[in-house]
This record gives sequence, structure tokens and C-alpha cells, in this order.
Amino acid sequence: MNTRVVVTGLGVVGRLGFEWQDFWAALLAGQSAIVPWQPENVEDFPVRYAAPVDDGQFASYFAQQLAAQPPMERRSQFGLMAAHQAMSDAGLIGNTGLNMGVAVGSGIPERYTPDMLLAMEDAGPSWQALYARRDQLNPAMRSGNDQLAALIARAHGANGPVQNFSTACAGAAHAIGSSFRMIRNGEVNCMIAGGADSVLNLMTMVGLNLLGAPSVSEDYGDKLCRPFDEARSGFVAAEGGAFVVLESLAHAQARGAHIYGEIVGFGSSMDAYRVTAPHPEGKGAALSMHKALVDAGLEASDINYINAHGTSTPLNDTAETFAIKTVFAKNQHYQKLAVSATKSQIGHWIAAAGAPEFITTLLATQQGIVPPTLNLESPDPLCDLDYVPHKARAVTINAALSNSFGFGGLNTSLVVKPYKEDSHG
Amino acid sequence: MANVSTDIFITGAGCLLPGCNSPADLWQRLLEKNCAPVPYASEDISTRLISWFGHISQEQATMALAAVPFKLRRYATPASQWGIKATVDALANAQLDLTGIAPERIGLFTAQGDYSYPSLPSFTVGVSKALEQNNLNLPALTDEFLNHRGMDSFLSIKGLSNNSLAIASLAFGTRGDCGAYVQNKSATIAALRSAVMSLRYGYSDVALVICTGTYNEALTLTELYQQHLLSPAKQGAASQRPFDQQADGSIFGEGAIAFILETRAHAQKRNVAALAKIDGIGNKTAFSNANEHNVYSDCAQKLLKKAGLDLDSVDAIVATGAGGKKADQQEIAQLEQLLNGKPIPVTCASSITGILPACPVDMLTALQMLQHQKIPAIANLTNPISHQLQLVQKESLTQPLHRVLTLNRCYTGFNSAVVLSSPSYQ
Repeated sequence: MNTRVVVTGLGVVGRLGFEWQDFWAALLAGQSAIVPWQPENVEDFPVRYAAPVDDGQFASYFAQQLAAQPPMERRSQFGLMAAHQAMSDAGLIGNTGLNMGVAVGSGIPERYTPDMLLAMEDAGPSWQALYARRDQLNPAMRSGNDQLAALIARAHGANGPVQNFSTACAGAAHAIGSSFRMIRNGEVNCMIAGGADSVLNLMTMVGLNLLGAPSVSEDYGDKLCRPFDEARSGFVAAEGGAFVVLESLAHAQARGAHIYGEIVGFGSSMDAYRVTAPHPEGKGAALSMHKALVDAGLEASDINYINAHGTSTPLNDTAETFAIKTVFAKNQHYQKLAVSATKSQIGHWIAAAGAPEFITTLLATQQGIVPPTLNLESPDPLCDLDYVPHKARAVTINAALSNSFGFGGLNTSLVVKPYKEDSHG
Repeated sequence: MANVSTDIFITGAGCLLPGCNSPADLWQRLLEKNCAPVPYASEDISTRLISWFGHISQEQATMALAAVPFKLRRYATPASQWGIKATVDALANAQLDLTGIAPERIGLFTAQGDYSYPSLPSFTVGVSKALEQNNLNLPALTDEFLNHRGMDSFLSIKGLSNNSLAIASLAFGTRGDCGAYVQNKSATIAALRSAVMSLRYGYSDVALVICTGTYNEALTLTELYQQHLLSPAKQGAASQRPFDQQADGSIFGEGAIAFILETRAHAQKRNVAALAKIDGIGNKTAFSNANEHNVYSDCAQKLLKKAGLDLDSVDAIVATGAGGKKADQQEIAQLEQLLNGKPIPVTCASSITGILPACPVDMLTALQMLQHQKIPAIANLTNPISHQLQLVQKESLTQPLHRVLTLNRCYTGFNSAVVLSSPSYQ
């Protein structure tokens, strides 16, 4: 029998709070993290709204923990603190000797805005100019992309597998899914898994804007993120970090850990369709959901809730709806599903997105209440599922899915169930 | 899903490495001790501080680009192009036609050293124009980037996800299990581990593992230089001198290696000759220096124990050989601790290609050793820093080889071990 894998610690750091309880309360209350935004030192940037972490509150809240840390990227700060929160929540701070690994989803490095200017101020693109100014470079920006994974491993004495996923918006979900597999198959008995990202810097936002991915609309103010709505016009970028502690059931029970729920299935797939667009019928998305259900040993009819990827982009939301209708076609089970898009409240955390959304799915499953999809005022006729509009709703959940799909056609789905001592997953 | 088939085989390998278009080229260079690094050259970076580098040549780059389907070329980073070329060759080596396999059953796992995008060249056009206009500031640059094609329009595609995964999935039509890892040398192990798990537990029938990357990126080179890891390269291509008393740093480089992995059942069904069986993969991190003294040997010992093997069953070791004085001394000390007097020959390949990110040259070397039943001598090793170890020096050794242990350690604190055995060895 496979080892059962349970979730014993949660940590979320974002604009809606620095404790998972605050994050969850804000979701249920229908709060939005989206505010007017422009990059530093630039006016009239086409992207007008985002969901940034409040720097002052963040620095104040984590002053003690951050003081002891080396310089690091913004995303790493959020991630390290979220991992700390999750480990603290699991009661594992200072617990050494665990057979524990780390899996992180991360995105584009943040390093190029100030460094590039420094490098090029005198001599154009020149490594020598860059090197001559080495003392002025922010040391946080020189680290490799696995900086956060290494920092978490060091902070918590993890000497097991360390994985840094770079699968775009599916990164954190991949990290959680891979961790689940490693514990289930007996490679380790504990993993810190999740992701952190911050695209709210000039260069990255320019790059995303050139692809036409973020919304540049000014029509809806802080209601700009409108998954499944006819007027949706692109994603709203956000930043943050979220981590969970996963353990084998035996390991959690042996130390009397509080268990939030059980992860029972993981599916990953690729669209192999286009670099810049998802398959219009969501073939890859359907495949990842199907694989996750098979992995969990569940029927489609066992699922009551889906936390959708729901980016508020024209292409994703119809493709995901199509995919859900395909996977849950039998007896039109898709009509019985509650489907909601957390991004309508927190924006798109890009590579980290799968982590807060997995936590949302887990808490919804545990507490029997589904956070809403905000701003769904005029549903797209092609998006005709029950998206739990506007207000949270009580739903009895036996099993739930969390979807995360990434640029380049990379898809993941995770299945969670409420923890029951006598269940055999 | 646990229909566990424990035996996983490497049935194909391909590469595009400095001076090597194929594993056979690498083997030839290993036997001839023919080092591939060349004087450092870059269109975008001018420097005298880096003098030698393991470059992919223009000719190789052209060959790699030709391997990428035309419609994908504008999205693919050079490293992804190299990876596609290596994979095409690995598939040919494995005699595997992917069209005969359900796309949902083909896993794809990519390893990338670190981001090579965004890079200085990503912004060159806009920055140069702003410089010409004596107007280098963020608002002016933003205008150049947004409105005047001053920046690589596909920067996000190249930098947001591991570009290799997206490009390879499209190039080869794979729709199955996947993972992409960007984490310097440890990316290789992460990708291999996931591929093995995917096959072993029935998520895939075939897995492509594509490892690719470059250290030729301005901030990365700055960091390596500041850490005093670069050799001054006074001896040119022969400056990478693993385990030698004259070692004075590493020559870094770039390249790609691809492996085709299959379960025993799948390989047997195709009646294909496997290159090696993967007996085990292990890794151990030492991000805290406190444990540095034994983590490398611990990693190997734990892996062997987990695989149910002991050192007596290992016929040769392919070590890292970073070429830095301190790094090599540490590695030698741990090898001595691990071997404890056992006369197992130790070689390494780093002097041939230079140190490459996320490119398991050690594993490729081990595959060749198993195939040719020969252990290549370590190039540029004239005065070993250890006489306790049987470092293969001067001449290649010809001897029966059934099992090879590859050991890797990275300056980031990552250590890994892979055990490969001859597929005929049971």
C-alpha cells in the first residue's frame, strides 16, 4: 500500500495577510488584494493594477526573522517567511534530524533592472563594466535561481532532496505534487513545498506586457481580475509566497501533529500545442485532471469542488471550462461542481500561484466552505459552470481538485480529501 | 499507481558539448586527453578577466538550430536548441520513434543550470539606443522596450518557465508527465529522480531527460569570478587540472546532454540494447558549511546502502574534479574517507569539457566506460594531490567494468551520486 501523505503546516505571505488564518478569513469575506500599481520610477506604464505585498507591513511583521538573513531577492523573502510560517504551524521549528526535503516553484529572476543600468551606464553591454561595479551590485541579485530552495533547506536543516521547479505558473503545484510523490513512495517522510514569486518589477512586467498577458484595462478598477466573466481582459499580476508541510501519515501521527487534510493524487501533463497559448479545448488541462483522479483512485463523480486556475485571460478560462466539462462529462457531473477562482481575489502569483490555491482548496475541503469568484458579473456564455460568484458558500466536500497551468502548455492538478483516520486514500 | 518495476535503463544518449557533437566524440577526446576549452569569445561581453571557456561553437550552434522545428526557433534559447539537438541524437541512439508511443505516456524532464534569460543581450537594442541618445534612465528605457522593439519580445517565454520543457514538448509532441528544474548542477539529479519515479510508478513508459545550460551570462560570470572559482587559465585549454598540484581554478562552459530512459519491460519489448541500468540516484545538500567535511562521502554511502550495494561491487568512480585547489582537496579527502584504502580507480572528465551547468558529463563518461570497458586517464593530471587514491593518470585502464559510481559536488553545496551498471550485469 502507498504511504498516505498529509498536510500538517500552512504558511501564506501576501497582500491579504501574513498568517494563513488572515488569508483564509479575507478569502471568505470576499476581500480583494488588487490595488492601483505602477513600477517604481516609471509613469504611464500600461499595466495599472496589481496585488503587491505591503512592504512596510511585511518588514515590520517579519523584522526579527529577516534581520538574521542575508540579502535576497524579493520573492525569496516572501518564500522564506512563508516556509517559516508553515514549519512553525507544523510545530517543526528547530526540529533537526528529519528526513526532509524542499521543493520550490519559482519564476523569472528579478535581478536585471538595477544591475543592467549599472553595467551599461558607461560602456554599453560590457561584462567588464559590470565587474568594475561589483561592489555596487545588490548581492541579493547575483544568486542562482535556486536561492530560495537553498535558504529554506539551510534554515530548517533539510538535507534531503531539494527541487527548484521552473514550470511557469504550474511551478508551485509541481513542487507540491512532486513532494507528494516522494513521500508516498518512501523517498522521504517530510517535505516543505510551495512557491514564491514576484513579477512586479519593471523588466518582467515589460516582458509580460509584450506578450499581451496582463490586463491593461482601466475600466474596472480593483475589480479588474474577472475570471470567467465576459469582460475579462488578462491576468492581474501579484506577488507572495506560500508553503505547506507534507508528511507521511505515520510520521505526522508519531509526533501528534495537527492534520489539515490529505493529498491523494497528482497529475501533470503538457499541451504540446503552442508556446504562447493553451489548447483551445483544454486537452492538456483535461489530461492532468484525469491523471490526478486516476492517481487518487477516484471517480470524477467523487469530486465536489475545483479550485480553478482561472486567470481572467480570454484563452485560459474558456479552455479550462471546456476541460472540466470533458473530464466531468459522465452524468453531467460538471453541473454539480462548485468551481471558484482564487485569483479573482489575490491576483496571479505566477510561479507561486499553485501554493496559495492549494491551501485554499485544502481549507475549503476541511471546513466545508468554498471561497467565491469575485467580479463575475456577466459570465462568458462559453463559461457556464457554477463558479460560486461573489460570496463564499458552504459545500460538503469529499474530494477537491486544484488546477495550475503554465505558459508553454504545462499543466498540473492536485487532489485533496479531508483527513479521516480510517481512510486508505 | 504503484505497479512497481524497479529496473530503469538508459537506452539512448546524445550530447552537444564543447568540442563534442556526440558521446563518441567525448569518448575520443577522453582517450586522447584532448581538452575542448577555447579562448573566451562573446558578441555581447568584452572582458580580459575570463580568458578560456568551454564554448559551443558557432558551427555547433547552427547544427542545433537546424534540429529545432522552424516555427519554434524564435522562442528557443540557445540552451534549449542544444538540448533539442542532443535529444534528437539520443532518440536515434535508442532507435526510438516517438510516434509509435502514446504522447500521454512520454515523460519529459528538463534540467537547466540557471537562467540565461533575462540576459544583457535581451536588452541590448534598447539600451544601446538610449545610450546613443544620452538618455539612459528607466522611463526612457521603458519606452524603448515597450514601443520600439528595444527588448527581446519573447523574454518572458525564455525566462518565465524552463524554456527547454516547453520547446521540447512541442518539438517531440510529448504530453505526459513532466518537470523542469533550474538549479545549477543539482537540476540534473532532480530531473533524473523525477524521470525514474515517473517510470517506476507507472506514470510514463518512456522518459526524455534533457540537461542543458551555460555559465556564459554576465551576472553568473561575475559571481563565479568574485568567488575566485575561475582559473586564470595561464595554460590555455589545459588549465582545468583536476586533482593536480598546479590546479588553480575551473574553466566553465556550456552544453547539453540528453538521455532516454525506459523501464525494463518497455526496453525488452522493443528489443533494444540498453546502455546502462540505473542502480540508484542519491543526493545530499550541505548548504551549511558545518557538515561539509563528510557530506559527499555520506551521499555515496547512503546511496549504495539504499541500493543494496557495497563499494566492493563498484569497479570505477567518475569524480567531479572542479579544478580548484580547495575544492579538489575537499573532494580528495572525502574520496579517501569513502574508499578507505579500497583500490577503486578514480577518473574524471572535467578537464575535457570544463565545468558545465546541469550537464552530467560524468554520467555520459560512465556510459562510455561501460560500453568500452575502459577507464580514461584524467587529462592534465601530472602531479596528483593524493597518492592514496588510484587516480587514473597518464594511460587509460582497460579492465572489466560492471558498475560505475559517479560523484558530483557543486560549489553551491549540492552533492549527488549515481550508480550505473552494465545492463548485462545482474
